[in-house]
Amino acid sequence: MFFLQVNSTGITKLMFIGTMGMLTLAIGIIVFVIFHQRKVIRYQMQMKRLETEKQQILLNASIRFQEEERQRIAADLHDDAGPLLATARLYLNENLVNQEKAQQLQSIYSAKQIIDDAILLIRNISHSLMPPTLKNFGLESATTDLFQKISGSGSLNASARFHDYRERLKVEQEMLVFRIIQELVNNIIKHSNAGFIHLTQNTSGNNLYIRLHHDGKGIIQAEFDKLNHSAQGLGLKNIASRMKVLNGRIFFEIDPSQTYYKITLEVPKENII
Amino acid sequence: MKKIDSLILNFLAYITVISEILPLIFCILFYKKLNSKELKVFFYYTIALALFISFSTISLYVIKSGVLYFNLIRLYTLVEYSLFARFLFYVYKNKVAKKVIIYSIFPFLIFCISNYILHKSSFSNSPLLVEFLAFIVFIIYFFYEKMKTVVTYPLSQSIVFWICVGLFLYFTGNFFFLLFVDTKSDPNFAIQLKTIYAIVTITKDLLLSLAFFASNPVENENQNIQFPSELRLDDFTLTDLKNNRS
Repeated sequence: MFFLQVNSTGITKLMFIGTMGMLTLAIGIIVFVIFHQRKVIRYQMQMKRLETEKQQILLNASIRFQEEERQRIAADLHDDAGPLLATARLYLNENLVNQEKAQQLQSIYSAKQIIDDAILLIRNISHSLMPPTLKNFGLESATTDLFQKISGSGSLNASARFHDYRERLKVEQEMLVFRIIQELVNNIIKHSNAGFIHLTQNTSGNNLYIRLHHDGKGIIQAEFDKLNHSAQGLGLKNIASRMKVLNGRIFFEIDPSQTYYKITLEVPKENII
Repeated sequence: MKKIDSLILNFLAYITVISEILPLIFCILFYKKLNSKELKVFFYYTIALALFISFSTISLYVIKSGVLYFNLIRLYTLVEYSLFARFLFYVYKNKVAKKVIIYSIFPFLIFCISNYILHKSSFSNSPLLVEFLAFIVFIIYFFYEKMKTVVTYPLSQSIVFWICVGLFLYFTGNFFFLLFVDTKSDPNFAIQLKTIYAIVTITKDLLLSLAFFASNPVENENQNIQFPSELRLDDFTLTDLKNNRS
């Protein structure tokens, strides 16, 4: 209103143009920021949807894997254990009593050998499904056993120290935690070129804490999150999904001294999904 | 026509004075929303603003002392700069930016003091210009940082965002007003200046007040996970492990 009445002096023009320019610029920036951020949020939602779809694919893959595993066990039992036991049965058939004593002994010895083989085969199948140390003696023994085996290979120094594991986790939880430790250790051995792996455990409140230290080439949380959202890193995805089932947290970091990496697991007791 | 102009101008001047107290009223009304450090600093700013408006009105219309009014502006500029710097210090995520903004108070203080010594008898708007220019840059950086940060809710739901929008419009809109405030020109030009100042200031105060209607969701960013420190999870000696390797 007033602007139109003023004589168009240089200063008036300059001030009017300047103020309008500044305000237009300011509003432009604000509008740009708001729209850009909305675009980012839309993109994020799309990513989330894709993530859900990916989780579904992983779940389907996991179901398929279970089916395949069952088929493999069935095939092992049918193709290996079945013929072995059938052969043993042949040795111990009804004619055995009619045979000479030496032949009888030979047949029994052969049958025993075959039964021993069958026992070994069934044990191997069983061990691949569930480590016996874990089942019988718990996470502490299974982990210590795993680390002793790694250390025994001589390629790197591995040690585990459990501070407070008097109260065991549920069997399913122990199994999941052990599989996570196995996956992490495998990754460290395969990719990090580490000289040592050290595991420590402790308990605080209702949570169990496990920390893995290694001096190889590690990753930090941001890289873990990135790999977890990319097509790569199926092992890391398995870790993430197992942690989800455990309702726990995992954190990858580098020590402030920059000399070694740390991976910390936080597992709530008796809180499995 | 001139009478109407004068009437509108006076009306705008009154509204401007009242609008400056509005953010404080809204802060008190929405006190429960002042749950973060930056919003508490903003609350202090609204108190400072209300006090400044009250004292400057008294100095201009009751005591009628121009010198006192200019000194009040000088003092308020310093307080405003410090409070905005503190506000943005809490808002920023970047550590370097935090340091820059907080340490910028000291050179600004020195600049204000030297300006006061040099222009004791007259009023210089240089500190205000420096403040406005600095905060235009600082708020642009705030927007840049917000664009970089991944958040799960729209910025328009954040109180801090609307406060920054209000301040940004205020600083940009009044920048040219400050540049020409010393210019002695025809009365119509003075009317123009006052009108621009009034419109921009009222807009700022409205935005600062209405910001409290934003739902202000809590940011859920990827932060470092904190584990209990007493766990003794790092109790091994690195040298022992390295020696054992051989």
